[in-house]
Amino acid sequence: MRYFAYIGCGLFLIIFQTTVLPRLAFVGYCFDLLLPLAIYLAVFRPRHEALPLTVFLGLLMDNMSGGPFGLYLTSYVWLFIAARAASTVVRAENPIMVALIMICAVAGQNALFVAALGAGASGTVGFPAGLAARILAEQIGWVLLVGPFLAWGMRHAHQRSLRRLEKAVIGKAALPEPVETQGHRGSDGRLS
Amino acid sequence: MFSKKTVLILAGILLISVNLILLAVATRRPVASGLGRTAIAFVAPFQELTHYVVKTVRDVWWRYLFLSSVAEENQRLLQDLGAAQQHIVQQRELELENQRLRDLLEFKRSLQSPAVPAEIIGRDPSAWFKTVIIDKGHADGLRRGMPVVSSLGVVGQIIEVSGRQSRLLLIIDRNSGADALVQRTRARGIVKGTSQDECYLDYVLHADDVRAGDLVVTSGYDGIYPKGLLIGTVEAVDFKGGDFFKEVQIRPAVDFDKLEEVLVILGTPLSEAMGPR
Repeated sequence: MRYFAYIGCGLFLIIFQTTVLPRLAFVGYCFDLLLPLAIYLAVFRPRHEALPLTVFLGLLMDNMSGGPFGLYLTSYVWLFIAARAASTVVRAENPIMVALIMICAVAGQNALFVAALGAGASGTVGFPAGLAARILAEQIGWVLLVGPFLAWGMRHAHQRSLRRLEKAVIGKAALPEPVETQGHRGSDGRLS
Repeated sequence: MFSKKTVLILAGILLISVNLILLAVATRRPVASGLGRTAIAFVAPFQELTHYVVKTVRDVWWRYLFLSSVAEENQRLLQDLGAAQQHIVQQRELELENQRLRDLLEFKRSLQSPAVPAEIIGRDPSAWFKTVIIDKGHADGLRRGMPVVSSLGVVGQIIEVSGRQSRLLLIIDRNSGADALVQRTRARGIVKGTSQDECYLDYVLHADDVRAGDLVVTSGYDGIYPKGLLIGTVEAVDFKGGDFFKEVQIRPAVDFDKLEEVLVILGTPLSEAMGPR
């Protein structure tokens, strides 16, 4: 059920990004809306749940985009690895940290796209450095604007899922016969 | 002498006669008597008072107490106004769409090959790549490699086809290329996108005469785009001393941000050779 919810959320974001967002002229270059979802999965969800969903979202985006196949998948998987590694070092529940991870993710994804475009370039037309700077500046601007809200939303969703899990564990512990717990939470608050 | 009954009858007749005579006289020559003025003077203030009370009550009712229904009516009228404005906007949208489709139909008639109109339903999620999804696919006869145009000029080519939708690579994408000619001098080059709203005419020799304002059209040599379709206008020409080629900047004829309807030209040689994907 949870998988379907994440897939539904991802699909909604993709459809919004490809149909509604391009019609809003004032938005300009908005960051990839699936990045916050990928970060949430990487930082707050268990590996066995987050990795397949991240791969699925990457493949979906690669099919929706006209770029080289695997570009989004690569960016999401590397984001997953980096965000997960970062969450072991820093306190991932801190909204400022989440916003920082989002800024790094946006910069990293654009760097990957630029590298892919540069690799496929031919002819005498130079690389559009001005466009790259503008895209990066606008996307980071949008992250700074909506990032804190997204970080707050992620934290809220995480705490809600923890409360639900605690209730389920307490309910099972109250039973007379011995039962297996669904897992224990590590020092970083993530399930193992 | 007379019975009481007879006296009453005579008195009645007399009264009626006098009454009729007075009425006849009064009808012929109306006279104002002092009694009438007195009556008016006595009754009129009460009439006036009553009139003002009734008027005031009526005014209070209509102006204040009746306002609730006026407010309701106002609300209803505002809703009607909103609906009418929405209707006008929709009407305007339909008019504009109608105009665009007329232009497209006119353009379709001018094409030598059959063409299928399609609507853009989605755009690329990335800012770096310029592709769009259109609402026609394999079932409508579309194949990979088919050129796509609008009434203003070249739009791009089909790069992926599914049952009912297709992906279209716009000519402003960096991966796009089209063999083109400068219409005035027949200077040849390859139009390449920049992932911005502009293109470059690449591989134009230094010796070729190209100036700002020249029209750039498809050459037909690439086997994708039919010959003579407008791509855009030369905006700037850069002469880089050491380079073998000129750098020719083109402003596309099509405004890709506002593009909604396109025409897919069926039956070009390359798309037939490439087949479905």
